[in-house]
This record gives sequence, C-alpha cells and structure tokens, in this order.
Amino acid sequence: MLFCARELVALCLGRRTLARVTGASMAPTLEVGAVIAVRRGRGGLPTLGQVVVVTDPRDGRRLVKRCSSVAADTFAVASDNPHGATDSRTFGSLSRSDFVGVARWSWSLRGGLRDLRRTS
Amino acid sequence: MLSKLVKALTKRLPEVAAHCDGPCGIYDPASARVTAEAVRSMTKKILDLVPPDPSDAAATARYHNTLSRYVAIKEEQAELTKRDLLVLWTDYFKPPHLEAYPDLHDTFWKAAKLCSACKVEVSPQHADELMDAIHKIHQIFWATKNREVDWVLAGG
Repeated sequence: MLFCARELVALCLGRRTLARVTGASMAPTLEVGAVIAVRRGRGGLPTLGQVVVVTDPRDGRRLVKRCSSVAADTFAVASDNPHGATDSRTFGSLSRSDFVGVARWSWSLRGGLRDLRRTS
Repeated sequence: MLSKLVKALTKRLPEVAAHCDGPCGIYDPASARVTAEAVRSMTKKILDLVPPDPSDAAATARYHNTLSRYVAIKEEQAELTKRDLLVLWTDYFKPPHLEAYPDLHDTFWKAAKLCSACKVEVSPQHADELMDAIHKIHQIFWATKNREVDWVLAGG
C-alpha cells in the first residue's frame, strides 16, 4: 500500500517514466504489451537482480532486462526467458552510460499491477 | 473493449524491447492454438445456452450473467489469438521463410481476419476455420525448425 502511494506520488512528480514492453524475452515477469514505470539511473549502477532498462550498445534502442552481475564500473544483463538471446551474452557488459533506469512496477491487463522489486 | 482502450492509451509510450533476435524457441503457435480453442469453446457454449422463461427473474438474471461472461471471454480470447499470431508473423518469420512458403502472408492475414470475425460474430464455422488456419501455421512454423511436433488439442 505504501509502495503504491509512493509510486503514485513519484509518477505525478515526473520521477517515473512509463514505457511499453515489446517482445517476450522477459516472460513470465513481463508480458508483451505490459507497461513499466522506470526510475532513472542517475549515472549509477543497478543492483543485482533488478529489472532494468538499458541502451543496446549495438544500435541505441532501449531494452528491458534483468541485471545479472555487477562489477566495479560495468554490469551485465540477462533475459528472464531462458531462451532469450539478446542480452549480455550477445553484446557483452554494459557501462554506466548504458544504464537508463530501474523498472519499479509493471501493469498489464492479464497480469495486473506487479511490484518488480519482488521478482528478482 | 478494455484491451482496445489499454492499447490506445499505451500506444504512444516509448517502447522498451524484450526481444529475442534469434530463432530461439520462445515462439510457439501453441499459445494461439490454446486461445483459439477457447474461442471455439465459448462460441459453442453461447449457442448452447437456452434462454429461460422471462417470468422467472432469477433465472433470467443468471442467463444474462452467464451469456455476458461467455461473450466477454470469447472476445478477449479472440483478441489474444490475433495478438499471438501477429507476434509470430512479424517477429519470428523472416524473408527466407516467405520464399519457402509464398502464401505465408496470406495465411496470417486470413487467420487474423478470422480472429476478428470470431470476435464480433457467434460463428462455429469461422471458429473452425480459425483452428484450421492455426493448424496450417503450426505445420509451417515447425517445418521451418525442421521439427515434427504433433498437433494436439487441449480441448480434445
């Protein structure tokens, strides 16, 4: 309840960015068409297990993945769907500048509202 | 109705891709098959419903409630079937597949049209045709993976 209220306030204050998920590599955590609320990374690094939005270093598009490891200045991401192919196995480690933000919650018609902090 | 509204509201949001770029096996026409089976089942259930005596208020309320639920489920499952088919069509199938199966686009287009028909109608014929179209897509899909996968129906 507190989480919902805090997130609602953050959304109203413009501290969350909404985005729409395309593709199924984060299934079952995120289904196709789900809306996620992203808290900007502010130049830091994600924490292990967080669902994160990153920039694909190959073409600059935005990806949603799970942080699978964190080193001094880099981090790696993986897909929840074990068959997912486009993650750090494909493009390697990411730097701070590739980290866009952390997905805090998701919402979809089928799955309803979901606190993504509890899915790691 | 609700899914249309959500789609319209979220259409302008920036996209974050959770794509799998390789032929990695996360695609499967089975999801479309299951929802299409649900469409066919709900179509049959709607047609099998017998309206009660209008003087029986309780039975009439139950009838309308059941009918509304059946219709809502049928429409929702038809929409999901269309979405699953569109994901397969646009994300999995690539130009070489089209060369091997020149009627691929036509097959998907007709299947998507049948989803719409099943959504707005109560037509066992179109529900059966949708299952046939998905069966054909199932055969093409697994042939592109050089695998033989049985066509098994959840509803028997």
